Amino acid sequence: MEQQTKQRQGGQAGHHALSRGEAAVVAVFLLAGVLLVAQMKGVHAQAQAQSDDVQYVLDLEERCRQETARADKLQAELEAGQQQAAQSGVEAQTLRDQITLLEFTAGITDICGPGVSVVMEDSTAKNTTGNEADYLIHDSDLLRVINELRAAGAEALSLNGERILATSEIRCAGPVVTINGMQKAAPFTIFAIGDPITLYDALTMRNGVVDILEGWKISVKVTRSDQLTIPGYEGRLEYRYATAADSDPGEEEVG
Amino acid sequence: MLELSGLAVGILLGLLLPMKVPESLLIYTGVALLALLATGVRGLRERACGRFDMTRFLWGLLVDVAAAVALTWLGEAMGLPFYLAPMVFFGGKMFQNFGEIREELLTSGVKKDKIKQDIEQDGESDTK
Repeated sequence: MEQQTKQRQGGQAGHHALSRGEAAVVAVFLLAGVLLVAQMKGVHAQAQAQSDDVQYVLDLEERCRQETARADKLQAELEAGQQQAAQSGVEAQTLRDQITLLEFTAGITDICGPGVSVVMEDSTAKNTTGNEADYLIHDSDLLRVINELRAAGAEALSLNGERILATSEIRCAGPVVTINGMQKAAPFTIFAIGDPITLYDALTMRNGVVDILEGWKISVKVTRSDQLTIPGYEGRLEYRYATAADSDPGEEEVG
Repeated sequence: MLELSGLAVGILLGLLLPMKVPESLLIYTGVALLALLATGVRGLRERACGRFDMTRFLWGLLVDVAAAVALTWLGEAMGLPFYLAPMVFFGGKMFQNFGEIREELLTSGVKKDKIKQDIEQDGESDTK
């Protein structure tokens, strides 16, 4: 390198040869230059990688939005098709009624009607049993309330805005409860559509669910309502194992 | 200045070579780079003032770079931003040396006449 720099030395003050000291300083600067560019490339690559990550997330969000819009459009088309089919005759009207009924049962559409709302909060009582779990709302408490509501003729139920389907789980998962795979935390709000008076009485009767829970100072507020709206299930319904019985006449146990 | 053209050639070389500092080493090469630049500027000053000493220069280079990288590593291990120490130190040193070089260049016009008188003698003190 010294030789190389010696050759380019012509422009310098002239008649003296490149000294060793000069060469050393030039070498240091040369090295610094190379390292400087390598460093800048590295920093650039780092920034690029970060912005790539951000871009990836943005792309995913955008795709999610597009897919949701597409799903909405298809849903609208489906409804339009059903509407059209329904208008085409009495038979179609019967089918449409049946579809509505099945949609209600399946829980995939928003529905509204009179009913009760139940708000449950963790106990505020002083812990005297030494077991914190006694004062928290558990899946069993929620299930008992929901079961009571069903027994009293509730037609549709939701927990914290999540529709309760025939296949919905309600299960403790640490400090939260999962329903339809979503995590929900206290306070829990249960909406039930049905006869408000029957539902209210079923819950608040002496020695009933609310009575027992209030023994633990778990706050349960039951309110009658003329108009409740329960959202439809927003996930995807999928049956992987079940098939219609008449389509598979193989070995099966009739139960 | 030949020294700065060395920097230019280095940058050109760096652009031509496909070398890239990996992400995990960026902080170390950063302080090493700063130490390198500071040493280079110090060399410039010492040569401008005619006080250049090869052995001191090379040892200074080695120790400065090694100490800066080691301190940075220690800082990373301890979770403290120790790399700030070499950064402030070398940054300050560089400015100090720039100042001295500037003074030297400004007064060199005065010296030039004197140098012309004994033109046969080498103007710079070349340490062997």
